[in-house]
Amino acid sequence: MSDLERTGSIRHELAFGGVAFELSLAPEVQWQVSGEFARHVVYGDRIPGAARAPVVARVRCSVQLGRERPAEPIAGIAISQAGATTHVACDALRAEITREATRAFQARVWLGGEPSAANALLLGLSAAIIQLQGGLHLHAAALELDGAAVLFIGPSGAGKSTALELTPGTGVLAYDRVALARSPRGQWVAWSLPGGQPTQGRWGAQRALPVSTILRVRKGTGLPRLTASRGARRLFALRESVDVADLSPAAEEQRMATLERIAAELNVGEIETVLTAPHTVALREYIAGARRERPSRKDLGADARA
Amino acid sequence: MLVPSPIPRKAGRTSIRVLDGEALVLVIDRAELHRLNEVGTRVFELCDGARDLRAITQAIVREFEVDEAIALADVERFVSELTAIGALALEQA
Repeated sequence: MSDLERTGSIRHELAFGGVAFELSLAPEVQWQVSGEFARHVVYGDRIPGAARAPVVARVRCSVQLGRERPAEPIAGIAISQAGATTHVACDALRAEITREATRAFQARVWLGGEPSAANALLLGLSAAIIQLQGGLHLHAAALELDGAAVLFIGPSGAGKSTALELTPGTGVLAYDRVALARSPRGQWVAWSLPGGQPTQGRWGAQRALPVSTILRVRKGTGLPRLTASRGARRLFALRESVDVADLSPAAEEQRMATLERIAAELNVGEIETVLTAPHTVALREYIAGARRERPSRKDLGADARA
Repeated sequence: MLVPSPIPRKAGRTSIRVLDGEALVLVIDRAELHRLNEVGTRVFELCDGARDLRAITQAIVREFEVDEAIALADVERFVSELTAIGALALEQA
């Protein structure tokens, strides 16, 4: 998975969160992706080829050991734009990203020495690049159903994890977060991201899937109920689930534009979950009914898997 | 003497989208999302920094065929609530 070049830097090629990374690490940089993150990383020649690639973009990263700490602690990951350069900062790293082509970027990264630095690089840079490519990170649990992803969204405590538990017979794509963006083929694709409390044996085989349905989760009574959302209600449900790292008005306008497209092009509805019965059949019926009402532009096939 | 009527305008750091007659308003600095009904959406649209509360009320009366006194009370209350959450700013005429 790595090789020592004549320059002395160490190279890694991997894909994470919809972005393909070509990392050139200075020799003194410690590269250690934690167990939780490693599950969501695809290494080397297992990165899907261009014909099937669900990656949104590629980034060439030059990584050095950063010795300066931020003047003040940074909560989470902060993304900002200064001219043509995108800045990413957190306690473990500082990065500057510039665009080389429609789907290609280069980045200079100064990485801290803490154990979480590699994880922070993957999450921070993929978040920034997904945003630059018109996508976003969602707080969502996601499962695979009939070759496509169903996303469960909602604030903490809404019941996203419960919704996963109530759909047996399906594999889990993500427990807490996904990256959502258009693939080169124009489909909305969800890539798994770390987080949440995984259940033993539930992980699906895929790390990325085209999205068929997004459902805002609520707790219900009686029988499980799935309904389509309309108007601003669907936009509200999407926006309240977005992971925000760039607080500028320009970034917010881009987010809202992205959410409008998602609301217009994907099946966005609500699911009221109940604890007394599995929901898999009801979910399949809802999705089939939604497809009949709004014919899709293209089939949700198996051509965008990681 | 006619009392000047305040002029409401949308606050700078808000993001607004209107879908099917309903507005979604995000007050960025507070990270607060608000969904407005049809009448609220129309009032919000009319808060363009050029119309005072009387002009907005008259537009609502015409478009929704409601009593002017009721419309004025509703518009004033609604503008006051949106100002309190940072979605609107009021300028004195």
